[in-house]
Amino acid sequence: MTNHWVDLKNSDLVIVMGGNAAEAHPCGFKWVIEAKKDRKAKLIVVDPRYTRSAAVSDFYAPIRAGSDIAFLGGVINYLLSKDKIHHEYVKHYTNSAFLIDEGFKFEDGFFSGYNAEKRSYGKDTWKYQLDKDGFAKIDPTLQDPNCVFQLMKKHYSRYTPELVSKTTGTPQDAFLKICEMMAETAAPNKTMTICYALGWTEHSVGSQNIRTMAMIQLLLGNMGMAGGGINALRGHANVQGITDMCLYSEVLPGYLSAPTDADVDRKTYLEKRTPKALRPNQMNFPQNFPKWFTSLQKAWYGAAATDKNDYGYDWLPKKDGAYDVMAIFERMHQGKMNGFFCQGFNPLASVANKKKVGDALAKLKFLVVMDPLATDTSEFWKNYAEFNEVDPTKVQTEVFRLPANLFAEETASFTNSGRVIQWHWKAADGPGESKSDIEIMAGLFLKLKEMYAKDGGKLPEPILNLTWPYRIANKPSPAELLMEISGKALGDVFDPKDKTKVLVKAGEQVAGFAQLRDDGSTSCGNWIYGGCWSQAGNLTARRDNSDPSGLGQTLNWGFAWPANRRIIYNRASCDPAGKPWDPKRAVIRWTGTAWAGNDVPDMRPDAAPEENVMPFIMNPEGVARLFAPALAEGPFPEHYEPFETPLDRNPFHPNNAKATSNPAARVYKGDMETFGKAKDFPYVATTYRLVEHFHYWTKHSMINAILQPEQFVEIGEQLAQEKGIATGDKVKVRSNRGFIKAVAVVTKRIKTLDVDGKKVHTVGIPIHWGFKGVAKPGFITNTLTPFVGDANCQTPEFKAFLVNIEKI
Amino acid sequence: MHCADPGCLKACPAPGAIIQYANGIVDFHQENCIGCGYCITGCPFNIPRISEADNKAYKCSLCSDRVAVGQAPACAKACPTGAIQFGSKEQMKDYAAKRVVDLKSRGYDKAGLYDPQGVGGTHVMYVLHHADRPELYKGLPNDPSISPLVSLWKGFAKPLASVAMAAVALGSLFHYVMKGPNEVSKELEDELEKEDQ
Repeated sequence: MTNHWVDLKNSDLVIVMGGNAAEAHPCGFKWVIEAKKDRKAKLIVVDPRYTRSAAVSDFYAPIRAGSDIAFLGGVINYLLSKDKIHHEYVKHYTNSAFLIDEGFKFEDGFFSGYNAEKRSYGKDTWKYQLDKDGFAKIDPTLQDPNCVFQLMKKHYSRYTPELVSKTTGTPQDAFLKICEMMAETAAPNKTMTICYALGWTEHSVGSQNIRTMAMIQLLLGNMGMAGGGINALRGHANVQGITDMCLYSEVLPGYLSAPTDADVDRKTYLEKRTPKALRPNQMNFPQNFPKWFTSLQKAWYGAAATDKNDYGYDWLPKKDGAYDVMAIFERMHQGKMNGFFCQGFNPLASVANKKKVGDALAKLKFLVVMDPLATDTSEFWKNYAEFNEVDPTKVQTEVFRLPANLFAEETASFTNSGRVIQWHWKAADGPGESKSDIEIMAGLFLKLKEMYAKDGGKLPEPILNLTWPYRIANKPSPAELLMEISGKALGDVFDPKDKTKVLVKAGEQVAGFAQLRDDGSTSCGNWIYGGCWSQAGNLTARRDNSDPSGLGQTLNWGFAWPANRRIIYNRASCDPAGKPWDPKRAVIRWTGTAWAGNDVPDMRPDAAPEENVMPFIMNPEGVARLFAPALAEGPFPEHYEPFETPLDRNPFHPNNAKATSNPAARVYKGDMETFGKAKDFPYVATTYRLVEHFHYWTKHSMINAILQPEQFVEIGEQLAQEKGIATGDKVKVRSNRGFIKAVAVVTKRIKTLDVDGKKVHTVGIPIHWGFKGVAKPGFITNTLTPFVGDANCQTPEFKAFLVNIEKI
Repeated sequence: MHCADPGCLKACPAPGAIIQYANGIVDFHQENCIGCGYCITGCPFNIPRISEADNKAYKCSLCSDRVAVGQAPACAKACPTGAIQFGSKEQMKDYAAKRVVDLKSRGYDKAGLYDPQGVGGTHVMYVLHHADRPELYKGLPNDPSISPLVSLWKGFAKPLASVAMAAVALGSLFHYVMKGPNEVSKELEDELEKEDQ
């Protein structure tokens, strides 16, 4: 979330799209209710199903799963063509005025630079025109045909209400009504917030779904404002902490991009990641990258990391390809992996195409499952009749189960969707021989270290040189780890303006990432968490909920990254002169000498408005990007159909079959053939969660199993009638990858949509069942889903695929 | 529903099995229940159920134990979105009136409070989007009232049946002697009333 949970109450208009907060985030949804109650806020829900969020909305519109960019692109077109944007904001705080390379084009569904063979783009033309000083050229009048504003206007002029409705199935009048309601928040003192979740991310265009909404929020001037922002509602407890701490291969802790084969040494690596400012006077905060990275190296390798050895740069793994979850299972499926550690993860149930995942696991020599529960994955080799049809005699994989503790069985920290890190205290001891994940990992590490020390081996340094300063070596405490993550001074840290002044003494905890250095004098395990455990102690354990602002800005409750800032980009909540756009919801303001107010300013505290330091400090241009070349499939989001589409073409590019689905999405050999076609699988399926269950955990809990006793699928009345299915009938739902059987629920909540001249029916499939647990056994829903992901982060397309359904 | 004029209590032949507290809670005391099921017949909302396990009648107690010590019922305490609110009847009627105004402003012209007068009003009330059609909400009765048969039973049949009840009454007396009255103490009641104000 750019904002935070409590801040939802400050909104005038709440959009729930790509999520179902009332059911999936009931505790956080309380703040939406508060906004409705106290601010008379309106709630809009756009979803293929009339959800429980929709039930308390002021306006609901149906949409075909997988067509969100068409919808949101249509909103952009509405705002631009009706001139309902926050002009001052767009002009000053976005790159709308920036001039783009003249070679940049968009034709027939592709941007310039497309390589069909590699399914990727060369980005040579996706860039700013630069002047002789290396700064981006701008046209403040926004009239230049090559400025972002004009290019954007042209790009979205194709998104007419007619075409939007034809593509999404949303009735045109409903679409226009929503546009109108959103447009009202272009007023400087009105804000709109968006609550989205996996309904946006789990698509082959997931990142672009979110980006399109971000563009709308920028056009309306809602970023940085109380009650605004782009708010990802994270599902799994501490999934925010997981992403922050980099438990995936693409980044190092704190979103520092991981080194690859091409980064041959530390210098090359740092140069590529340390940008120069693209406009005069900008903070260009990523220029501090070397400080964050060096402090991370010191946190890992301690005294062994010195300037003589590039602070141990050579000991870090360098990526030679993709290592996301899809790539891992692809590699495993090809028989190229021997072992797999599965920590708090149930991939057989939660990764797309269960059969492929099961086949892949069967090719391993060993599988280690660290989990509090006996997961489906840990018994992938066991036959559970039609729920898991395997022949154990054909599986050679040796499986080890290491019972781990649950979060409530340890004292540690959680990071919530609003980036607030909160210390929590142990409620009970873990049962039996279960151990905390930390203790298990520590035991493994110490054993490996011992083996390397004794037997040597190729490149033992990464293991042997890893610093391990914990009081009890085989049981590091979460407190020690959080202190290490927060960072400390290894030598005295001096004020750069006055070299005689010591800011932090050697051995002390740093107060924040501003005190980190690139000369090895500081260590910090994750720069964005810098200062969460300062000399003042564990700030994440604070529980003072006093709120002098009345806006829910409880700055002494826990610690929000970065720098305890609750609303990021909050400089944008003020006009260029430093006055709040909405004085009634002032987040910060320029006092005449400094930035101050109800939040930690997202700005150099003494940057006077006349200096023109722009609010989006993480961008070298200082402003937000309406044109964003970082994305894989284009600097402007474009509608592409899901890989399994009920249509035989992309309504936006009817004459270019190659632009039907995301042209930059990675598809593995053999997976293209597993995609089904509409003639065999005519119905759109989408998966989702139920309020009574939590992922695949609560099927192990009797009370949840009683609340939702049996696997079911939901279909609309029209489809039910066509197929002769009544509520309570047992049905078989097939995709090109397998089938599940479940009880049918016939409901008015799913409507048949008119899309591109045909009737499109939706089948809704909850995910929570499997063959392990106390709940009635069910089929793993991801038996059905396709093995293809978003082009930027490879999140699988769980939310839009094709199935057929029949009564059995 | 904790009616002001509870049909279950009217129908109940077992003294002390159903008790209406001064705070409005209508509570079942299973130790006095004879499992006759008359409360089911008497209830216009079809709420009480006879347990198959012990053949006694059960229903929501509105957490009378928690309320007696000044706490909100567990459902209100646990509800994350504020859909369930707890307070004195007057407070709740005021709160509901505001909700109704809000709903009307959002286009629900028929929004209103469900507090049916046929049973003297209830202590579990609902704000309904369509108060003109309560049957939409899991079949809430439009104008609930206590069946005339229950009144008939009160008038004629009950005196005749009282002989048969003697044994039960004795049981109750025994309980009274052993365990004390099934009442909220005067002090507690006063305290609760004070809090309500």
